[in-house]
Formats: sequence, structure tokens, C-alpha cells
Amino acid sequence: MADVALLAAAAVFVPIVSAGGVPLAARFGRRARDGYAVVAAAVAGALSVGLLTQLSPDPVVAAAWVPTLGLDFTVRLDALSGTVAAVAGVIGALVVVYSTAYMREAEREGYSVAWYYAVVLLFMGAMVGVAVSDSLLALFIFWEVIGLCSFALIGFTHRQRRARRAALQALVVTQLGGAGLLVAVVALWAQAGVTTVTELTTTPLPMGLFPVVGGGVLLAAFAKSAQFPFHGWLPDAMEAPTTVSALIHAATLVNAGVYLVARTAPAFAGWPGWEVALLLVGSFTAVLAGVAALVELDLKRVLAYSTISQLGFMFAAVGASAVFAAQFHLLAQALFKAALFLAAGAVIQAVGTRDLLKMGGLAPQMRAVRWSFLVAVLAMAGVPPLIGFWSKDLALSAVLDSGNAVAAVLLVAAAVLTAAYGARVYYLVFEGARRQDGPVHATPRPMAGVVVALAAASAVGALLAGPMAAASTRTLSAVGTAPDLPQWVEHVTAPSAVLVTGAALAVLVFSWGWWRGRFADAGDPKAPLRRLVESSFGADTAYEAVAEAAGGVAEWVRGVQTGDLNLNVTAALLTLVAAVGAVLLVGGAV
Amino acid sequence: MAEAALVPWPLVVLLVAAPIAWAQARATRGRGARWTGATLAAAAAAAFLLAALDATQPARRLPSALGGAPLEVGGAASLLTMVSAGALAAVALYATRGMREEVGLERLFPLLALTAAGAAGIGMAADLFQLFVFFELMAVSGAGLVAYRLWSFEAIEGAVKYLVQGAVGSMTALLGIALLYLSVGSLDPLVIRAQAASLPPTVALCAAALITIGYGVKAGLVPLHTWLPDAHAAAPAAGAAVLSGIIVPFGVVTLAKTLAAFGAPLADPAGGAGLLVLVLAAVTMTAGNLLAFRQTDIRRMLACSSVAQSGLALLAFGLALTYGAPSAVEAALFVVATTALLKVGAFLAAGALAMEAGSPRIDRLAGTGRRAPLAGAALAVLLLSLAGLPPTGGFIAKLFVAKAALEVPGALPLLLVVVLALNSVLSLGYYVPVAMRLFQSSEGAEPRHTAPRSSQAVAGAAAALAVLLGLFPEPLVAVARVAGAGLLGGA
Repeated sequence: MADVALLAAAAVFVPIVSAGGVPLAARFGRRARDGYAVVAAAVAGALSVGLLTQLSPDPVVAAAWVPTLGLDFTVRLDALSGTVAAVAGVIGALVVVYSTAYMREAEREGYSVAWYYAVVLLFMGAMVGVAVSDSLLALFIFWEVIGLCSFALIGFTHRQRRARRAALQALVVTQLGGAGLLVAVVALWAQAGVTTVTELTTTPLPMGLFPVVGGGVLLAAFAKSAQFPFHGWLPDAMEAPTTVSALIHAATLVNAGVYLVARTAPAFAGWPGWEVALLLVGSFTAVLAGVAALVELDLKRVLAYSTISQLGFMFAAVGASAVFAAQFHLLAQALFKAALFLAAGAVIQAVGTRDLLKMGGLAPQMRAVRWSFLVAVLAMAGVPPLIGFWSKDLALSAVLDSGNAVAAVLLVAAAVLTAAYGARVYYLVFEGARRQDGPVHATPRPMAGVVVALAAASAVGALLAGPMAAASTRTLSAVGTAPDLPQWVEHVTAPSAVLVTGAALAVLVFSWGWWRGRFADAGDPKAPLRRLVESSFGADTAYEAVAEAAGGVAEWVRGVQTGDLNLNVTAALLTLVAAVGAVLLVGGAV
Repeated sequence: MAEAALVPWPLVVLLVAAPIAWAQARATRGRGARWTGATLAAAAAAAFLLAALDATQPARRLPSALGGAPLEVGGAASLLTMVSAGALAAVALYATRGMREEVGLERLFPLLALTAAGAAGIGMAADLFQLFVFFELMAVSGAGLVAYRLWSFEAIEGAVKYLVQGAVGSMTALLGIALLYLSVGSLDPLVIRAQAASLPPTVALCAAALITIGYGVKAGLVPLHTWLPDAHAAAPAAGAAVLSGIIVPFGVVTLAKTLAAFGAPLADPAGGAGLLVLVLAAVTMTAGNLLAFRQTDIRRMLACSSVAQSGLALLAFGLALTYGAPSAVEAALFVVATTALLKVGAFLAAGALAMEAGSPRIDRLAGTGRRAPLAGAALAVLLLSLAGLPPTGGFIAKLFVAKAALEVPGALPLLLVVVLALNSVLSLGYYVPVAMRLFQSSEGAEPRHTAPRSSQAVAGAAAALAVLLGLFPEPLVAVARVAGAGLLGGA
């Protein structure tokens, strides 16, 4: 078993340590730096795939960490953690390859690309760390490190005020969730002596701990995966370079929230509030974000809302006790969303804008990107036999079976919305007439290659379902619900699921024609929802209001402190009187 | 080691270093601080090592030596001496080059040494009056550091505030101690503890309140903290580092050690005094963080964040005193040690960057992290650590306090942990923008190279240590466990 621990440690720490080498490599020029980053990321990706060869249901103690307090660094490599780790490693490596061409522009603007690569490598390693850590405290530390990495990457173009603001918002919101996770982890440690995920999911918890621990986990997961009402930061994080968006949306950050609830789900199975919260928040967020994606006019923000919506499917699936469906949809989402984002990056670089109204008619000039984007959109919309059909229908049928009618209706609506906004965004970018003149820059080879590879993977990725389900059954005894093949086909071809897919397809075809009429000329359709969406359904406004209020209180506190020595001493003496009085009163001595 | 420990060597070394530093600085006047700083750093390192030899031994009392009162060595005394001597070594090394533009260095170095000696004495003191005397040694030396730039109005204003508020606090604390002495007839905490249960509750509670408010002034408890921003802005960087790194956290230690003498009334949560301490801690954390928002001077911002850190330390001690939570004393000692490290490092890094920028104003610091990368990176890491982000020592400190709190069943500790966690998020709102600003590009500004490399290196070492402490906390945890066992009389 020692080699399992060694392999896991290597998959986590090789990218983290190699991040430190980027500035050194950069001293030998741009090619050396890019080459080093690609090799380091490829090794990290290979190691994360290598983890899949060592799956086992049992955790392994890798090292003693704080012996005085009885804390170890324990790793757990099963189908769930293996999937999340491999997604982080492989997609992270592809993003790095793509970046060698994409980051040229940022380099010309004077931003430090060496810093970018270093943070990306650290991000990959820490995400693998989140996946493989069985120790709750180590999990929390990696969890916070990926938060810091996303902060650094969202604020990468630090000369733009919007980027700095978005980075801070992302950090504060995810840290708020992190505070919930910290309270949960510490409460488990202090009151139940539970320090690992395995202990958490196998030992019965005292009833009194459920609200604190379950609530803390949910808060952390919803904030990290941008679920309602914490969804505001993710669209705003689109200020980052597009490669960062792909990394955050497909490979790393937002997956962490889903992973956390899927990982800890068995511990809360008996607590009704848990399942209802997941089902309702997930399905509601899926619809809300789907509506937003339908009216947004910024290409990247459309994709961001679509991520939020797809994550809603995964949370709802976990709520319906279908951990495998969530796990498989996570893989599917990672593939098609990485393809979409990286294709979008090529488009944005080609036309120099993110505004959908200024695109259109790009199909002839960007053939490879266009076909890849189309395949990814169809996969996202759930067109058979692409990966999204299998994964989404699995999630849908689980929720339909769960008996929660509200969640089922919402999720069906979200599936239909997915087809609608997918058709819309594809149409606005590639079809119709061009709505803005200007050159269309050719897509560099490394970028086109990565996009095509990811689109191909989202087309045939469903073939991974068999081995994945087998591995889940073998290593996730506590989680269950990984169907074997016949059950799988039965699930996916159940009447309800087929009906939903049919509806989605109908919408896809219908909206094709609709968008076509709508955008025949380059007019700006004033959707009534636009303004609401621009403030992220009030989430941004709420964040602003809280920040404003904190500032106001701070200003008031500062105003009270006049700096007048007489007042200072008076305050001290008054405090003394108040303290003596209060103490005597409470102590019952008066 | 028992024979060697019959003399409190670390304290002796620090006390002797003061006049030597004075003489050396006088003798080398005009050629700056290089060698004096080196000598003092060597003395501090020696004191640190002497204390470290004893750190794994449980605390024990030495036979009476100074004026008939005993001193303690080993355990918490060793740990606190190491903290104080380590902070002194860093500040002295920084000052070898970082203070070359200052005049009057023959005052600076002895005052630094005496402050550290006072702090070490606080760790060793075994009776309440001795504790008060060492506290005053530390506090009065600190006044000299605040008033260091005698010619400036800022320094005089800061020093007057420091002295007047400090004097009110000291008198109040002394009154509390006198009240206790009057009732029990002893200043030995062990004797007082034994009789605490039979004290009239009015007397015990009044004395506890007087002591809390009195020492609370130096500990920076809200609303007694008002001297901190002015004093920190007036003192030179080395002095501000000692104010926040030693004087404020050791003020909390003094308060906790004195309150520990009460035993029973405080340990009874309904007894009021324990509740007072915990409420003060929560208020101090929150108000300190709020105050730090919208500060325009990096030194004032860090001073306000020291108020918040002080609340954290008091929270841990308060848990130990009120509930007798076993791991709370360890957590509190961990907080004191990391606060000293982070605050000394942050003030020194900020000092180096202010030299580079020619101003301590936060908006003027923009881009200094690019021109002085080592100090810039160090300050960024230290600020994130102060905000309690992993993987740093600041995170582990907050983690341990939260764990100690949640080991106590009940709603109040949970509420306190929620306040602690929310404060952590709140503090990001001012730490992170400053850290980001350091690395914004400042077009047109040429590097002035006025931040000395050695000074930057000291700050860099503090930041590296902060990260190491976050990754491998075991050594400090082990030492804190030994130390915690004896500090508050096994509270």
C-alpha cells in the first residue's frame, strides 16, 4: 500500500513543487519557460491518470503530520476521488498546452506569464490534493489553497480595476463558505474525534452535530460551486484570461463543491434537511442560471451561467442519492465546458471582443473551432449519443425517481433551457451574417488542437461510463447507486428521461429558427430580464450592499475614535465602571 | 540541565545586553548601527538558545534570587522567552541596516533589549507583583520606543497617549492586585488559588474586573485600545514591530497569568468575570478588524489588526480561564508565538517597503513589491497569514483556538467560533487589497533601492517561517503542549 501513498503524494506535490521552477526556467527565455510548464503539467496529468490504476476502497495513511495531536495525512483513492483528480490533471495539462499560444497577448501587455504558469501548476496540484485527501484538515487546507489560486488567476490582469474587484469578490465569497467548512471540520474533530472523511461516512454522528456539520459543508460547497445565492462571483470572474475560466470551470475550482457533497453524502443520508436542500438549491440554481444564460450578451458570461446551471444538476443528483450520476455529469461537464471555453478563447482572440452582438458569421473562417463548439454544445444539450445525453439523463431520472416534484419540474425546465441557450450562443457566434467588420485572426495550432481533442472527448466520452461504473461499484461501497450496463440503459431510456431529451431537442431545433429570425439584422434585442441578469439576480447587489455596510460600520467605528486623549481615558474609566457593574450583576453579588 | 538552570540565564543575558548595546552604540557613534545591531542580535540568539534548551522541560520554580521572589524556568517561561528573544533578534538584525537614516541609535538598541527582557520576565514571573514589575519594565521601555523621534510632534503625541493611558491602566491593575493582597495576604498565585473559593464574591469580582481593565489597556482591548494607532505611527519600524510583536501580546499574557490566580470565581461561567473576558475578546476581534478598514497608513492598519490579534489571544486564554478547556492554553501560546512572528515580520517588511516608497501611505506603496520583491512577497504572505489563510501559521493558530472552543459543549463557544470565522473573512477585506496593491505596476517609478537587502531578508525569513509553521506545526505544538500544562496553574 505504500506505493499508493507515494503515487498520491507525487500527483499532489509534483505540480506544486514544479511551480517553483517556472521562474527559474523563465530566465532561459520564453521557449524554455513554456516548455518547462508543458512538461511539468504533462507529468502532473500523467500522474493523476496513474492514480486510476490504484483505486481501492480503503484509505491509506501517507504520513504522520502533527503526532502530538494525533493528526495524519491520509489519502483515499477510489472512483470518485480518482475521477476528480484525473479531470484536474488532464484538463489542466491541456489548458497549459493551449496557454502557450493564448498567453502571448497578455505577455505583450506586460503581465508575468511565469507567474501565471506557476499558479496554474499549484492550482492543479492543490485540486488533486482536495480530491485524494482523506484527512479533513488536509482537505480543508487544499480547499483554501485552490481558493487562493483562483483569486490570483482571476486578478491576473491586475491593471484592470474590474479584474481586481472580481478577484476579491471570488475570494471573499468562497472564504465565507470556507468558514462554514472550517467550523464543520473543527466541530467534528473537537466533539466527535472524527478527523477523516472515511470516519465521517462510517461512524454515526451525534444528532446535535448534524446542523453544524451538514450546514457548514453545504455552505462551503454552495459558495465554491457558485450555487444560489452565492452565484454572483462566477460570472464576474470572467474578467480572467479565458484559459483561467476553462481551468476554473472544467478542471478545478467549481468541481470541488460538488465533490465535497458527493464525498460526504453518506454521513448525512439520514438527515432530511440535507437531501431537500441539495435538491431544491441545485434545481433552482439550474433554472435561474439557465435563464441568465439565455439573455446574456457576453460570450464568456453565457458559458459561466451554463456552468452554474450544470453544477445545479450535479447537486440535485447528489440530493437524489445518485452520487454516480453527479460524478459522471462532472466528467461530462468538464469535457464539454473545457471545449466550449477554449473554443470561446479562440473566438475572442480572433475577433477581439466578447460581445455576442459583434460576432456572427464566423463559421467559414474558423472551421475547426466551429465544429468543435457545435459538438460541445450538442453534448451539453444532451443530444444522443454524446456524453451529455447519458450523464444528464442519468441525473434527471434519479431526480424524477426521488419523488420531489418541485425539483423534478425545475430540472426538466433547466434541461430544456440548456438546449435553448446552447443553440442561441452557437448561432450568435458562428451563424448568420457578421455584425462587425474587421479581420478574423487565425487560430494558432496548439489552441485548435486542444479544442478539437476536447470536443472529440465529449463526443465519445460516454464509452468511459462502463469502466467508471465498475470502478465505482468496486470502491465506493458506501455510496452505491452505480448502475451496471443493463440498469444503465434502462435508466436512461426510461420514458421520463426520453421525454425530457425529446423536449430539449425540440427546443434546440425551434430556437435555431427563432434566433435566426431574431438576429437577421444586428439589432439589440432588449430582453426584459437583461437588467436583472446583469446584477446576477441581485447577488452582486447583495454583495455590494454587505461590503458597503461593512465599510459604513468601519467608518463609524473609526469616527468614534477621535484621538482625543481625554476621551480615551474617559472611555477606559467608563469601561471599568461598566465592567465592574456588569461582573457584579452577572455574578449575583449585588 | 537542572544545575545550569538555577540562574535565569536568558533573562540575565537580555538585561546585560542593554548597557552593552548602549556603550557600543556610543563608542561607534557616526558609523551607524551595524555592529551594535549584530551584537544585540547575537545576545538575543544566545538567550533564545538558552531558553530552548529548557523548552521541553516542565515548568519549575527557581530558589528565590531577586528580592526574595521566585522565578520560573522551563515550560511556558521558556517558550515566552524564546518568543521575546526571537523577536528581538529579528528586529536587531533589521536595524543593522534598516535604521541607518535614524539618529540616536544609542537609545534604540538598549530600549529594544529592555523591552524583550521585560517580556521574558513576564514569562518567568511566579508572583503577581513580580509580574507587574516586569510588565512595567516592558511598558516603560516601550514608551521610549514610541517617543524615539523626539523632535517630531507625532512622536510626542503618540508617547503622551501611550504613557497617560498606560499609567491609568497600570494603576487600575495595581489596585486590583492590592485588593487581592489585602484579602488573601499573599501575592503567590498558588496561595491565592487555594483560597479563592473562600473570598467574598464582591471582592474577587471587583479585583478581576480591575485587573482585566488595567492590563487590558496594554493588551489593546477595545475600547481601551485607542493609543495603538498613534503609537505605532510614531515609532520607527523596529519600535512598531516590538510594540505589536511583543508588548501587546505579552500584555494579554500578563492579564491571563494574573487572572489565573482567581481560579474558582472566574472558572464558574456564571461568575461573570469569565464572561467579561470572552465578550471583550469577541468585541476586540471585531472592532479591531473594522477599524483596520479604510486606514490610509500601513502602520495604522497593522496596529488595528494587532487589536484584532489581541482579541484572538484573549479568546483562547478566556476559554482556558472560564471553562478550563485543556487545549485552550496551548492554543493561546501558539497564538502569542505566531502573533509575534507575523507582526514583527509585517512591520519590518512594511518598514522596508516604506523606505522604498518614501512614505508609509498605502497608496504610495503601490508597486513597491515589484521594486523590492523580497520585502513585497514577505509582506503579502504575512498579511495572508494574519488573515488566517492556510497553509500558514496564522491559520493553524485560529484553527487551534476554534478547536479549543468547540471542545466545550454549549452555545456560547459555538457562537464565539462563528464570530472568529466571520472575522477571518472580514479581515480579508483589508489585508488582500493591500497585498494586491504592492504588486500593481507603478509606471514611471524607478526602483530607488533604498530598502536594504538585509532588512528585506529578515522580513523574508519571517514569512518563510510563517509558511513552514503552517505546513509543519508539530515542533511548536509539542513545545506549546509542555508549556500549556503549567502556565495558568493547570487551569
